[in-house]
Amino acid sequence: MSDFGVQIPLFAAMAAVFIAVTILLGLYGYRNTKNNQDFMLGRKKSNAFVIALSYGSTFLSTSAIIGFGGQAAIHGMSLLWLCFLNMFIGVFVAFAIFGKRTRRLGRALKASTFADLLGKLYRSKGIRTFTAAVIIVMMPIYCAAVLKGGVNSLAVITGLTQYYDIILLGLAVIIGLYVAYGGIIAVMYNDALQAVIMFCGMSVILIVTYVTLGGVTAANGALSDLWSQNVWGYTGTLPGFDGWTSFSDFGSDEWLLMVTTFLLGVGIGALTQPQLVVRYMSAKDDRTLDKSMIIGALFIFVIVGAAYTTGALSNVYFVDRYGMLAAEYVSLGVDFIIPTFILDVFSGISFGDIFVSLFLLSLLCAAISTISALMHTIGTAAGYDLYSTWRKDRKGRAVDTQSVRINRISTMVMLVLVVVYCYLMPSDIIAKATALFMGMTATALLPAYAHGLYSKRPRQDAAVASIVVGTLTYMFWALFVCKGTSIFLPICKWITGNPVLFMDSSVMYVDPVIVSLPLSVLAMLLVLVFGRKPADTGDPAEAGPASE
Amino acid sequence: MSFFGITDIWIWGAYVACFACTALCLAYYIYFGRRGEGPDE
Repeated sequence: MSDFGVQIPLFAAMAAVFIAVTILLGLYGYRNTKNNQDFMLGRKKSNAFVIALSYGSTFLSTSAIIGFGGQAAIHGMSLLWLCFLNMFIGVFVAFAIFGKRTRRLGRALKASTFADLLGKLYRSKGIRTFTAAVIIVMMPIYCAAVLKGGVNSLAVITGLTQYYDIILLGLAVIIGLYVAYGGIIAVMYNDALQAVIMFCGMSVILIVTYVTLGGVTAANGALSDLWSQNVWGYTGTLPGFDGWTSFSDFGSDEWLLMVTTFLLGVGIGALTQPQLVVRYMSAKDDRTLDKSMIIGALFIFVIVGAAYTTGALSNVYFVDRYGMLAAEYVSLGVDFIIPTFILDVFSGISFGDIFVSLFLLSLLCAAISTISALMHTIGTAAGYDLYSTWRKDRKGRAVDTQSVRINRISTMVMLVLVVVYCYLMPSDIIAKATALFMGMTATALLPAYAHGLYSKRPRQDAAVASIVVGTLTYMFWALFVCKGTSIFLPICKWITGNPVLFMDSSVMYVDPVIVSLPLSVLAMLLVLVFGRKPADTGDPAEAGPASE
Repeated sequence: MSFFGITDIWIWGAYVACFACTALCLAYYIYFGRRGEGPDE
């Protein structure tokens, strides 16, 4: 038994069964992967259930459960607006406005990846290469944060910290093998399995939390009363915080952090996640996507809503039991609030050990489902998109490579890079790394993606202007102005001696996406209105795949 | 006005918005899902 009270043999038995099923689904994917198209998009016949659960579990990693769940313990139920944005933008807008059009155009253009789709929409090798480069450079940071976060939690909670390296490498090898050999089929079926486990685990946790705290109204009322007692020392919040069941004061530092970084930064970023876009392209038809939407929305509501509600309510539990808030009681950091709370709550109830093991398995599933999808996307960006940009046929024409072997090799090579990143990255950065990756892809690619999907004649010059302005302004704000993101590459500190340029100003709490996304859109509009219109080359979807 | 023990409209409004979004997705599926495009092949 670990310090946290986890029955290791019970968890090990459940994990062994889970890994065995994972390997079997990997074998199923391997047998059904006959060519490169199968590796990247499957047989394009995925059903609604698999698409929805795969989308949901890829979308939600350990970051959503323990990263943002822990943030809910600090910043309160305001974070429920992120749950709404995840559902409205991440599911409804994503499927209804972007999903169907992406599926149809992807099929018409014979596109296999997000970078491939953008490149073919604009008939631009440069846009395809840039998109693939963003994926290869930025996505391993996000992937490493999820992997590191998942392994950290598991090692600490199970008390197996001395085996940290073995757990990390073991997990990486299992994921690497089933992604490289099973392709997208293994990834999506495993995602669906993991989503079911996550759904069961988080549903039980929410119910037990409310039962333990005396019911929904009593628990929420007790959380409201906590703030009115006004006796707390360390809360971990910024000026403007007004309690765990109240939204922070408009325009305050706390409000800026909550609205710009947590809500908008992550909420908008979901639209341009390359690993999610391929889910649309793997659908059989539009009806499948419509059905996926409702399943995906319910899944996200339960998982995210349970994590954020439980996180905020953990304060009532810790105060009742130990006389301290979650931020004070859990000394290991924000990412350990949810695990500590759950292990403490379940230690006093019947079959608690089984539920604790189920929670740990849910965490493992959340991490693996996201990492596998990210690794598949990074691998195809390197082995298909980048490799295709300089590969020529016998007549010297550019052609798309169709080698499964190269995709498999590049997936394994990139996985090694992700493992190296895990050892180089600072701790407690799961939520920040998620916001960074999602913000970067949104500002650089969202306007170009939307224009490419909905314009009859997408303008390459407008897309390039938007991508350049979005990327440069995002990088500047992230590295020199925003305190939360400048820790990843402390260039500002090396040059000026300060972590950010404006130390005494509230702008250091403004997320880069709030500044750079409007500028990226503006750059595109200016070029569309004032730029010189190129010769009419027709609708790319009607013209078929571009020869480049 | 209290909603299950929460008085701030910006907080209970978030829960209501989540339920409304689920209903929106269901309505969209009922309205469009049955009329949407069938298989391409």
